Amino acid sequence: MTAWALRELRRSAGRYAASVAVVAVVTTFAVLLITAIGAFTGAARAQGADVGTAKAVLEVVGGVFLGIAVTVAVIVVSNTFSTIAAGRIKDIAVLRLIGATGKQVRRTALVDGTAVGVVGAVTGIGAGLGLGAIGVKLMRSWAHLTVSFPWSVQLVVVPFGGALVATVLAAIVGVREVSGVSPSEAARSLPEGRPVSNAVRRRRIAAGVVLGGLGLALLVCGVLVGYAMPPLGLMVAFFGGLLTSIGVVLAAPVILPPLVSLVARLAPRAAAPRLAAANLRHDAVRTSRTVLAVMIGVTVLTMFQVAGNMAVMSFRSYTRPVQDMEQVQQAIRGMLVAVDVLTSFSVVVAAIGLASTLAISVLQRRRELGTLRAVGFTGSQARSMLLTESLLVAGTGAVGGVVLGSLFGWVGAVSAYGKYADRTLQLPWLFVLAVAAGALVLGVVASLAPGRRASRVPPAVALMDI
Amino acid sequence: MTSTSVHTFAPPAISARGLSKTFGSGETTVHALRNLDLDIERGRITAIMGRSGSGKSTLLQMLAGLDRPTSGSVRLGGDDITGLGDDELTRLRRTRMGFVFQAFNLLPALDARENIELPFRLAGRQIDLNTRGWIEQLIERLGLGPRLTHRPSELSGGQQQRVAIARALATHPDVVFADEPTGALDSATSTDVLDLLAALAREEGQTVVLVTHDDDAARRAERVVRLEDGRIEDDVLNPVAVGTQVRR
Repeated sequence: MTAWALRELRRSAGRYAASVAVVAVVTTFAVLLITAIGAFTGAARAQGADVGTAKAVLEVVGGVFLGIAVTVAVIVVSNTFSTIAAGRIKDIAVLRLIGATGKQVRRTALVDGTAVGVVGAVTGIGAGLGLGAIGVKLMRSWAHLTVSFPWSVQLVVVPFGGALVATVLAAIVGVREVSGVSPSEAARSLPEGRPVSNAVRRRRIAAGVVLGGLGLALLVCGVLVGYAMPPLGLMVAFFGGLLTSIGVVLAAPVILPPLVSLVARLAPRAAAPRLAAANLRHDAVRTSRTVLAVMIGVTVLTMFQVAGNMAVMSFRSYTRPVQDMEQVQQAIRGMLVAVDVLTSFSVVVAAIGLASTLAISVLQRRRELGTLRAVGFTGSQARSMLLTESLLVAGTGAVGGVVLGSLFGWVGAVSAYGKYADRTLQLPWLFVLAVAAGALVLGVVASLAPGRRASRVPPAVALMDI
Repeated sequence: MTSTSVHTFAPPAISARGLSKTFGSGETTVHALRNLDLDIERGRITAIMGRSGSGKSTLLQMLAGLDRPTSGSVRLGGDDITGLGDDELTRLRRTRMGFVFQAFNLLPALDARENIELPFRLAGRQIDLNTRGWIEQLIERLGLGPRLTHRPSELSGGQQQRVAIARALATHPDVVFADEPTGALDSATSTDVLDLLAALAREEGQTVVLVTHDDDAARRAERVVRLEDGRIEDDVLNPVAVGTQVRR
């Protein structure tokens, strides 16, 4: 089994490139974060300040954003693993036929997961240490701060271990759907046919709906409690938001495809866009995972944008001195910049995920694309089909993220400030415009390489034997 | 019923001249087709037979403009298609050719009706009243009525292939290419599918090129061309099919 896994790994190494990049980006983020916190507290301690609380706060805030980036990365990487596993379904069927258990098939994912995790982690740690050292040097020479590089073993060990565990986990989750496939079932499905199952998925969706409903109820409670006891309301709302998010993630295959169809109405009624929409609807699991990756980043950005602006409005409504107001605004603007920087890592991961999902789907839809070419699809129609798929995913992620983020942000602000809160939703149109433009650019860029590939599939592929 | 005699003086549906195709170079050169001449008459089912490696798949790809010959030319209804660009060839396949594949090749994301109407959608063409009637007729003849909203994954092999036949015939193409259409079906279903394809082709005077290694399939053809080693080895009119259908 291991020999087979190793050979398959060598064969599909190129398809894992994006996953390695994703792991590397997140590991870089982790190293930079630890470096920044270490350097900052080190510098403060050198000046004789007590940094205990500040360090703890920085670690919690950093940890939350790192957690978000890791979640996005796990979704993206497990998506890649499951699509690659679906492409191997014939081989898996043969293995099952000659007696491999589902567990053994799952274990082969360890080989792939470990390889991706190690390569990605090493690359990311290297990049993180390099960038961190450059950053410390810049702070010393430009800002004349007495900071030193906070070297420690943890700086390498923690990100490495974390990356490895997360990647292997993602690999196992990704392969799980395919490993249970019965030999005869697998033999019947075409290479492009993703197995769409079953009781497990239905249970997950049920859990998602329950958790999501509970989360929404807690959000409402948070608003109500916040009216009487503001800080407690925020606590309640926080858990409400957490549960709602988990619910959305779990039920994504049910919620997101209809949302994609809704967004697809904006697309022109030509053949290529309509096929794109049908493809996304057909492959609900893959679509929902890719949308989710984009959506998480946009949700976080929107949430802080809305909460920040509402905080400004709330202060304005009851703070008189203008100087105070300006200070508050300054502080919140600073916080929003920090949030944008911290979230950008998740967005980069989502972008890589979108491009790689499209690229792999082109490889696995060769027969389909060949058939389309044979019955009269031009190369440029194939390219525009891929472009529409990409734009629909990015666009749906943006719409969903803005909606969910607005909800979280509004509830957060209202439950935090209670009766002093300004209850109008503050969603700056410039921000919405920026998100829309970002989604557009993301969609176009992600589809370039896969689209070119799709347009070059020769129609004769349709004639190949099964 | 369209009779073949009407087309006696019209050019053949397809004519290939001096067709050669080689793959690779040096010692590994494979001559898939060697200087082959072939005319496919209109309104007939022509079977192209041969063992695997005989060149029949390569010939199909050349005739259908799916690949370019190393030398020689292919004319579709008198128009040379050998020098056409990719987009022109694509448009030609969309309007003047139909395909039935061994692996059915329906689009999994579309239901049966959407698959049948796909060539029109690709061309951005409205389906006019006449065509609509023809499609409904095909659906009825092929017994697909109750299956129209089903996805390919919800259809049996025979049903999928009947959808593919409807897709191929819907545009009234100059030629329908059928590549081992029963290669993935059991024998009873094969007989059904072949009977339907042959009957529809005869009634409509539809030109069909049937590539197969199955004698049972070839029995439905009026003419059987046998390939071996990239050359035409044998070219006969099928006495049974010709007797009953052509020399009316």
